[in-house]
Amino acid sequence: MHLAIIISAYNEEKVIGRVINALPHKIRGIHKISAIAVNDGSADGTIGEIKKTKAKLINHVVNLGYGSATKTGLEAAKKIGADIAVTLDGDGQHDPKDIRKVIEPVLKKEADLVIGTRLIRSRGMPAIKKFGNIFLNLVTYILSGYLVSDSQSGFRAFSRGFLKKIKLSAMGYEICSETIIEAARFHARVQEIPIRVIYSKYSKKKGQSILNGLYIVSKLISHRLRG
Amino acid sequence: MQIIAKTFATILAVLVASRLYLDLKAKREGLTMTVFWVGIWIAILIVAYFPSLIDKLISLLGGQRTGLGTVFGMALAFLLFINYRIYAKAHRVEKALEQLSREIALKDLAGVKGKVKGVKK
Repeated sequence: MHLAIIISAYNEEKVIGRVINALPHKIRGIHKISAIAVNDGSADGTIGEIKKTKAKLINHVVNLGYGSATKTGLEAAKKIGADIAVTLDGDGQHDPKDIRKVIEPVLKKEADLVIGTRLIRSRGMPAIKKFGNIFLNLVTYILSGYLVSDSQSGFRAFSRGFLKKIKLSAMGYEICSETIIEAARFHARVQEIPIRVIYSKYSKKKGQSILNGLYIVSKLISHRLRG
Repeated sequence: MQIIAKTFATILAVLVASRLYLDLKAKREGLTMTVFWVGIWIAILIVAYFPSLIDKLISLLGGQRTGLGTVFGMALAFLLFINYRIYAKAHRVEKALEQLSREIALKDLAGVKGKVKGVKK
């Protein structure tokens, strides 16, 4: 089994090197691990920091958004023939040790999409973010019919078969909900695995704001209108 | 009816304000343009909450039977049309830019060596 670990980064020079270097070297059942870092047109030294690591750098010449960076990473995973793709945020909020847990249901062929959920063990998550997540979970449920506890988590594992089927169009954070909508469209098996979230001052600052939540809803509605 | 208009205008203004704030914060938009759009939406909210101001403006511009209501309605429809055209074009350009950037980004992917060291065989 070939695993592609995709890390999207936009202006993450302070933490991206540490995030990549903390990736696991060995995972039971995986014979090859490819680390792919997508620099989404960062204006700081993110590229330089990625180049210092062993990850494959994929560079967007302009900033396109979290969704676009994730799509490019997933496209790269398909191109290199990965059997499983796992996505992580570049701000250091995800613990790379959880990768093994998150990919396990895909590895066992029990799931097509696994969401690493922050809300089952949500200690440390600001109350406003918890509320925003619950609201977006409801919106995602209305649009997909799938009720998940953390629809906005960027820590996900995809099976190759699922990746081949889905067609994602979102360019921003609305890709998180769009993936679940696509999973519903193809009746994919979705599982949730609790993950640990590292809420540092830095990752809290980099996270999504409540205003962005409203923007995500408007984008999801416009995606739905466009079909 | 007025309550619907007020609510509608407020929701739209909040959405625009949130987008403007995020764009300004991410330096995707300049301060001048942000202030301009904030000004426009404040004006829209004022009109939505105090619609009598429009009547005053109409009488100021030449009495009650000037047909300005129709002119305003047509102007609004025209603006919505222009808005739609700009949106559609922007969307197309955005998608083309995304496609182009992705193709450039993935161009040299053949023979990827992005393995993390110490991988178990």
